[in-house]
Amino acid sequence: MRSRPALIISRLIVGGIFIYAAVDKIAHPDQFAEIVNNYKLMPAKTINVMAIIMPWLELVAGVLLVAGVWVKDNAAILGALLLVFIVAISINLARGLDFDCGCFSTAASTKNASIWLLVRDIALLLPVFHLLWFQPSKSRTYVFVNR
Amino acid sequence: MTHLRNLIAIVLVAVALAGLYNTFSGRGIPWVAQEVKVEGAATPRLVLSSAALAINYIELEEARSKFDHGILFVDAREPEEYRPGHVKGAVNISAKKEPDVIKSALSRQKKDQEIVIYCDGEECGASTMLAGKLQRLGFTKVHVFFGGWTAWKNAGLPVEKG
Repeated sequence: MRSRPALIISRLIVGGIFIYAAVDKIAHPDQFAEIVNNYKLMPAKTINVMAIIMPWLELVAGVLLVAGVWVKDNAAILGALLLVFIVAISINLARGLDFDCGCFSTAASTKNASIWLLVRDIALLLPVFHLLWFQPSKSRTYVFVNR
Repeated sequence: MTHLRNLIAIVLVAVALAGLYNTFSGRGIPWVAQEVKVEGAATPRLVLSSAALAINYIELEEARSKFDHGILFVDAREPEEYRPGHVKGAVNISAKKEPDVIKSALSRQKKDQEIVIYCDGEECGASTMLAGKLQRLGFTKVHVFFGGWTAWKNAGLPVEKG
């Protein structure tokens, strides 16, 4: 678990997935705002701020994580975002609300607002915890740079 | 403390990039959504983007007159909501469909012909979302019927199943 390849794999998984998830939302902020609005969790005035900033936080933290910069900090940010998503999806599943997940695409064609979303987000927490636990604090291990 | 400093730095970089992109990319949206009053509607419509602002929101009376003039109605809900009942003659295009699917579904519609889009009622966002997609596909006369299926059904206007 402490081995360098294992930590790199966790970084690439978490960072890569968040980069992928961020791109389409950044390309279509207006549609992402509609999706955030449909979650019916945020006050009207804050929806656009969320829709503008959140994808960039995913992208910046994802890129830094893949690059191996400030690994624990970026893993913590993405882990916190995952917790927010898990809470938001849980509340809406409990409400039985018809909502579009908006996880990876603003044009999600399948309505898969189901327990599967939760399982996926919780599963993604595992490599996050792996990094938070085992990544050495002091090291700055870049992928392509030898220490 | 270095962790706190790093976290703040990461968030600030993200906020700065988001701000720059939102200002200069041409795809930006207002930081605060506008609430627009629609005639005859109980709740104000939350308008999240300028694309949504360019959409013409109409109420029951106007929707009815457009229906009488044979203008195309599009139901933006999911098929399982459409099948049990919808505006007579409305075609079903879920707001979640990909642009090319939407395009082929409306292949016989001219870009400057009027289209009325609706979803469940005042609270649903599907009609606005679909209207935004249609505008990006080049349709110029897109109306969102704000009261939607609920208002139409309650007014006893023509409906059909299937």
